Amino acid sequence: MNNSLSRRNFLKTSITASGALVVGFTVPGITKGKSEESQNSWQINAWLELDKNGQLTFIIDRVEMGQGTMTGLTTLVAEELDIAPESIKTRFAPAGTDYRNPIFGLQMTGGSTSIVAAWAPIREAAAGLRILLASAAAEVWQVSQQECSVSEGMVFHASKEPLSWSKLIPVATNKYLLGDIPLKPASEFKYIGKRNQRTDSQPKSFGQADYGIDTQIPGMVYSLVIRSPYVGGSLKNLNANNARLSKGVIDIFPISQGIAVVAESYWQARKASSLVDAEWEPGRAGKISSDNVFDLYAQEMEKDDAKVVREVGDYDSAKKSATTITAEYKAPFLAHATMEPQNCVAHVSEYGIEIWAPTQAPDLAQVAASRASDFSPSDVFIHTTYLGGGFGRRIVQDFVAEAVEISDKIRKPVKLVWSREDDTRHDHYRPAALHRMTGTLDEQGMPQLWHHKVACPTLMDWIIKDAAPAMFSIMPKWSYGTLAKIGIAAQGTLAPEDYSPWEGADTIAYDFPAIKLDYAKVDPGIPVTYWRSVGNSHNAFAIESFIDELAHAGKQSPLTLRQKLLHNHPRARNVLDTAADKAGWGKQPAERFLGIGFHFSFDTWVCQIANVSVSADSFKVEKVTCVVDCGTVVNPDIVRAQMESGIIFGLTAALHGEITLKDGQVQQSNFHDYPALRIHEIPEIDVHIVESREPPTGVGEPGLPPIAPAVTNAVFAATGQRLRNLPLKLA
Amino acid sequence: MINLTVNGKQHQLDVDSDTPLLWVIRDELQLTGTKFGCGAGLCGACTVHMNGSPVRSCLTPVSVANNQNITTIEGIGSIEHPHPLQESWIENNVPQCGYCQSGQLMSAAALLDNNPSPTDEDINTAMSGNICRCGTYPRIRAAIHLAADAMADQKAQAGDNSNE
Ligand code: FES
Ligand code: FES
Repeated sequence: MNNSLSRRNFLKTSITASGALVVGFTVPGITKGKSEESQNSWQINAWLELDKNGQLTFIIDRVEMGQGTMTGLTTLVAEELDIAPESIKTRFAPAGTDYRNPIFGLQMTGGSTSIVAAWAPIREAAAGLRILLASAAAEVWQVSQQECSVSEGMVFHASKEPLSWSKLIPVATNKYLLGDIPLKPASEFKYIGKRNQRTDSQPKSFGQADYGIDTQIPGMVYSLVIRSPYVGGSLKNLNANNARLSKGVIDIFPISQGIAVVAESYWQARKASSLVDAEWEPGRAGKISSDNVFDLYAQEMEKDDAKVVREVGDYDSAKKSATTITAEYKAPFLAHATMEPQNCVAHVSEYGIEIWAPTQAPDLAQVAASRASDFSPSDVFIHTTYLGGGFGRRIVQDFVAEAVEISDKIRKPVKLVWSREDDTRHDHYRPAALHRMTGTLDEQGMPQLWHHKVACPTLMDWIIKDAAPAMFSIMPKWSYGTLAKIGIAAQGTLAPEDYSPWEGADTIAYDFPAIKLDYAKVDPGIPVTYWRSVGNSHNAFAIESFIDELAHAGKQSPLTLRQKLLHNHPRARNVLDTAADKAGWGKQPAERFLGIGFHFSFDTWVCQIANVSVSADSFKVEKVTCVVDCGTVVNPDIVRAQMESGIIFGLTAALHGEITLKDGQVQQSNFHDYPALRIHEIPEIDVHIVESREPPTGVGEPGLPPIAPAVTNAVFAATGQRLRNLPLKLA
Repeated sequence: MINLTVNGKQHQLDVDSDTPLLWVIRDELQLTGTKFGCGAGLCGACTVHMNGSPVRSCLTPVSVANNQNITTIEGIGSIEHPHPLQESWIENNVPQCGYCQSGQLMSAAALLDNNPSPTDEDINTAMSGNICRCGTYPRIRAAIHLAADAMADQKAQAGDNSNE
């Protein structure tokens, strides 16, 4: 994807009230009403700021939730300006149209896109500053700009005394840059692909990184929300008489998501909440149970009106092959369980709304705050903090809307903190999904037909109420309801298509003579959203398990069959072959069993080989070998860390992860019944990165999808049991 | 009135005696390095030391901590004088989102206090109460070994010097 700035109009510079040089870009068509005179708006719509003392500040328009974006983006700036990444100060950007992710048209961090989207524009921003400084020095010295070099906060010339950047600010601000901005060639990279330190390790090792939950502002009071035991349920009766008498209580009142309890301290609010009597009614999902969900999916699949997503080759003749195999795979609902529970500090006053929140999408937070109050999104100022994990959870802005509703009522700054129980029972979940696979084999055991049917809800339906107004920020507030309806009804035409249900299933690289991919849309009314690697998380499980089943049915090695089916894809084939080699495929000791998981997502190839041992009635994942091809690598150690992270997150889901419903209520509540893998349960992990000069592709998510099928396939090799339901349990 | 010594500093506090130590540390003393993760003793994000032993502050009523010595992440080292674990944490790029790391560091520091050269098994036992949702475990393990080695080297050097 080309997000080059040369398609934007030009680079602008200006001086702020404090004398700092600011480098910014305007994007024609999206930037509106920003005048150069308005110092503030200039400042909040720029990426780089150079102050009078020569300190460079980089304003990061993505959020840092552990994926290493802060380090990666800062490294891009450092490379072009030839300064140490450590010397650059960073600040998180507030909500602003210039900070939108060009891939989404929203200011959203997700989809493993940060480096991909920034690769050209952020480097151009920094390179632009380099050129401005060089040309300013050239003017001062009356020499040619080509003779000036920029590094380490100085501009150099063979026969002149070096000039510091700060001295050049007045001259540089009179310069404009037009046209193409040359970037450093890869052969000269000093930090990209070489640097291995993280810029946020230090604050995070000293307890000094401020997350949303750490926000303290004067006059702040504390709140929690008592929620319906039913998913999406509503309040029927409330008796808070006793609770009101509890020490420190300021107010107790119903809000749209339950009952707000506001007190002087968090603990006082918690204690009072146990004295509240309430009766609840089930919501849209009624008294649904998990089994009903899969029944609904199966019914919908039986109908003949599924959406055909992809069709290749001659279905009918491929269907007539010698052998037909079918299999059904199930993936459950999953919670995100970010380590930092949802929280938000909101201050609603007569002037507008100020928000401090760990959000993945500041502009959606603006809309959510606006919908929960009388203000419009432009009256909402968002302070973005560090995020204690995101994984897609914080694309949903329910915690922001609640805090605003509460602060609006009491007209005080309020800190809302969700309990872990709230977080587990009232998440927007990774949707449960049902997959029906049909494959045929010819006499030689080669697959002829690949027919994949998937049933699950779409995700867009659940965020459109915030996303549509954020995308069309010129629309008045009264039109939000209509915008959301259009967004749902016109997916794929007026609104962007939500491809999450079949994500990763439509891009399989295997060359089958005939392919069909169908999607049956079913929404049982359980809130769902993006969850690390999104649709890939369940599609890869079905695809990579079934390819293994086809291999065994055709009496071929799972490695050999994959190799044959990938003969037209050298990059994919290289990843697979390297993984087989590093894992010692076929050379493992007799008591170890290997399984392959191979998947293409976020434009990145990942192959994982799980090494499993079995004893009596259980299995253990001993080792995972992981090979990744993500194009150019900005920070190799962060790529390794993200692979480790994806594998462990994916293993948690594969071995333990399951949100179940009974009578309309989520049955899990905290880490005892929704466990996360602990240190003694993790396998040895061996990561290899393919060297490449291709443009960078995603790394935050692609490490996850292959692990579940890799383990499943290894368990089959070990026990002959084909586990088709997640989480994996031996019979 | 509750008397707490936190990171060597004495505090007199007027808080309800059943308030968990966690909320007193975070909201009254504004030492926000200690985190809330589960409120049920299941995740370790809230780990602090009471008289040198790791405790889950979310389950420790402040009355239990009355007149006791509490150490939080802010007390085990500073940027100028880091704990060896903080150095090895940075060296190994341990933190991702970082939210669990204060608790991880406090559990690890207590481990090294009692056991200067822990095995992988020792690390498993001492650290299995701390969840990291980002999956930084392989690095946590490596960083504990690295810090243990660094501390042993320091001790050996100190020993050499004292012999001179
Ligand atoms: S918050 Fe105390 S153990 Fe989780
Ligand atoms: S670093 Fe994110 S939870 Fe441990």
